[in-house]
Amino acid sequence: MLDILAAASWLPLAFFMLLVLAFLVYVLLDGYDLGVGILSWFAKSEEQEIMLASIAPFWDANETWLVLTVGLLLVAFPAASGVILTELYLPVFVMLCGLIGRGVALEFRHARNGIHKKQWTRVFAGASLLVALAQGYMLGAFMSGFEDGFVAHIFYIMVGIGFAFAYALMGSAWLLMKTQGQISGLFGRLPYALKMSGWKAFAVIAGIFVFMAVAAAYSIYPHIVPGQLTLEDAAAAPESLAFIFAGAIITVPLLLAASVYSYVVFHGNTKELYYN
Amino acid sequence: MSFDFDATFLARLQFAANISFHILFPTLTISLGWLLFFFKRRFARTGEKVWLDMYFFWVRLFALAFALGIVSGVTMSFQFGTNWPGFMNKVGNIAGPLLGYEVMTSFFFEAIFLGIMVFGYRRVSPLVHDAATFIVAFSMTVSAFWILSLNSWMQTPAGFEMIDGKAYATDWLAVIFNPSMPYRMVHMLLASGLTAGFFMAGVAAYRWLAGHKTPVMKLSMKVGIYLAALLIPWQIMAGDLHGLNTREHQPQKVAAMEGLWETRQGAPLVLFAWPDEEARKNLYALEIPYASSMILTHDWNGAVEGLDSFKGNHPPVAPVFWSFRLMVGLGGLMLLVACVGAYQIYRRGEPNRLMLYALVPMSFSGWLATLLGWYVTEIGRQPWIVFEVMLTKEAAGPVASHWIGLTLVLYLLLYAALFWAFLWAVFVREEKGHA
Repeated sequence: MLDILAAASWLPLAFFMLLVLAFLVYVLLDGYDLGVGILSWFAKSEEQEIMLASIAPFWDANETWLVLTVGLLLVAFPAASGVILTELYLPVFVMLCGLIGRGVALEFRHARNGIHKKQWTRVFAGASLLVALAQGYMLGAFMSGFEDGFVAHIFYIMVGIGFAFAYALMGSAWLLMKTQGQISGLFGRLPYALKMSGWKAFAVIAGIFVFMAVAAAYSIYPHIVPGQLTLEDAAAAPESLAFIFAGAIITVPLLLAASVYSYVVFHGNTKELYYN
Repeated sequence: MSFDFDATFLARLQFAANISFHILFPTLTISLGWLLFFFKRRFARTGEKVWLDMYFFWVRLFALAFALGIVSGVTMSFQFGTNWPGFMNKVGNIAGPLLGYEVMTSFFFEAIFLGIMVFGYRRVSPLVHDAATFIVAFSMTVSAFWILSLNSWMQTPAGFEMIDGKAYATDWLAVIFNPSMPYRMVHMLLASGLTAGFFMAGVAAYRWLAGHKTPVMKLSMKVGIYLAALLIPWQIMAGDLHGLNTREHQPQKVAAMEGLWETRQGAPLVLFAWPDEEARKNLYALEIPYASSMILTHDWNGAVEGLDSFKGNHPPVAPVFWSFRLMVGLGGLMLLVACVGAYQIYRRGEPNRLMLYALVPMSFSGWLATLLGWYVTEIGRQPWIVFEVMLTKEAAGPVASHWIGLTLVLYLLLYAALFWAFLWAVFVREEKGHA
C-alpha cells in the first residue's frame, strides 16, 4: 500500500493542503484562547476567573495544532522549513517566549492556593498579546517573501496588530458562547442589540478566517516559500510522505473524535473549575 | 580545552539548554502519570479514601510539570528548524516521519485527555476518568517511544541509503527499531520511574519535616521509596547492557567514557582522572588494573579499543568521562538510599529522621542522573549529529552568532525563572487548605 501511495504525484499538494488546514485550525482554536488571554488584561478579577476557566481544559490541545503545523512543515517540506524558520529566527523566539509564559502562567495561577494569582494573570494576558503580535508579524513576513527594509517591517508589525485584534474578536465570540453574554469582550452591548448568539458570532468570524486562509494559500501556490521554493522543490521523499500519510489516515479521525468528545465533556456555560 | 564561540557552538548550547530543561518534565510526568492511574485504580479497588487524596495532591503538580513539558517541547519543535536547518534537509526523510508520528499518535491524545483528567473529574463517570488518566499516561509513553527512536537512529542509524547526499528510508522497521533503540528505551523509562519515585518521596519528606504530617505524605514516601527500590537494580543492569551495546556500535563513545587513550590488552578501569585533551593522556589517574578489559570483554587480557584508534573523530573526553562517573556515582547513592529507606519503612512504617533529611536532596537525583546520562550519550556522539552520516556543523544554519548568543541568554534567564517558580510551587507549603 505504501508503494502505491509513494507513486502518487499529488502527495506534495496533499501535504500543502494539510499544512494550510492545520494552520487554519490552529488559528481558529488557539485564536480564541489567545484572544481570551488578551481580553483578560482588561477584565475584573471575577470575570478573569470565568474567562480563564473557559479555556483551561482546551489550551494545550489547541496549541498542539501549532506543533502539527510546524511538524508538517519540517516533515513534508524540509528545505522550506530551513529557509522559513531561520528567516523568522527572532520573531519565533518572541512567540516561543510568549507561549512559554502563557502556558505556565495558567497553571501557576493555582499554585499554592493562588497567592500570586494577580501577577500570573498579568503574565498570561501580556504573553498572549505577544504571541498574537509575533504570529501576525511572521505571517506578514512570510507572505511578502521575507522582504527586508523599514517599510516592510512596518507592514509586518501592522499585520501583527491586526492578528491581535482578530484573536481578541474571536475570544469575544467564544466568551459570548460560553458565558451567555455575561462577558462579551469587544462586543459590548452588541449581542443584546443584534440578539446574536455566541456560536453564530464565532461561526461568522471563523468563516472570515477560512476564506482568508484559502485566499492566502491560493496566492502563494505553487510556491511554499513565496518567490523562492515551489512545493516540488521543497517536498520530502515520496516514500516518507506516503509513510506519514498512511498514519494520518488512521490517527486523524481518532484525534478529531477525541477533540469533539472533550468539547462535549466541557459543553455549556463555564463554571468554576475543579481539580477534584 | 578551548572553546570557540562560533554560531554552531552557540546553537548547540542553546539547543542543549532547551532540551535539558525540557527533559526534566517528561521524565517526571511519564511515570507520575502511571502512578496517578495506579492511585485511581487502588481507590476503585479498595475504596480507601487516602488513594483518592493521593491522586488529587499529585495531579496538581503533575499538571504543572506537564505544562512546563508542553511549552518547552513546543520550543524544541521550532528549534529543530531554527537551529538545525541542515539536519532536516539531509535526514528529514527519516526524522520527519518519526516526529510526525509522535505528534499524531501522542501529542494530541495526551493534550486532549489531560483536560478531562485534570478538570473533568465532576463531569465524567469514574470509569471514564480512569480511562482518561490511562490514555494520558499511555500517550506520554508512546511519545517517548517515537522521540527515543529518532534519537537512537541518530546514534545507530539503520534502514536507509544515501542518494545525492540525502537519506532515504529503505526499511521503516529497521529505522524505528534501530540497534540502540530497545536499550535506550528501557534505560530511559526506568530513569523516568526512578525520577518520579525519588521526587515523590523527596517532596513528601520535605513537607513531613515542615510539619505537614498527613496520611498522603506518609503514603507518598512509601510509594516513592518502594518504587525506587524496585527499579534501581534493574536500572543498573539495563545501564550495563546499554553500555555493551554502545561499545559494539559507537566504540569511541565508550573509549571516552572510560578515558582510555590507547588501545591495549588488559586495560585498567580508570576510577578518577583529569583527561588532558592536548597531551592525550590522563593526569592524576587512579586505576584498577585489568578491570576495564574484564568488564567490557569478560577477559583479564581482552583488547579494548582506545581513543587513539579514532583520532580526530572522537568526542571531547572530559565532559563524557565526568558525566559518566557522576551518573554511576548517583546510581550507587540511589541504590543505597532506596534500599535503606525501603527497609526502614518495611520495619517501622516510616523513615527515620536522618533518612528524611537524606530524601530531600535526593528529590533531584533522578533528574540529575538523567541529564548526566544524556550528556554522556549526546556529547559522546560528537562530532556527529547523525553518527558517521552527518557532522553537527553541517546541520547549523545561517543565523548570525550574536543573535543566537542574545537569545541564548534570554532563554537561560527564562528557564531559570521557570525552574525556580516550579520549585516554589512544589516545595513550599500552601498557606491554607492543603491536602
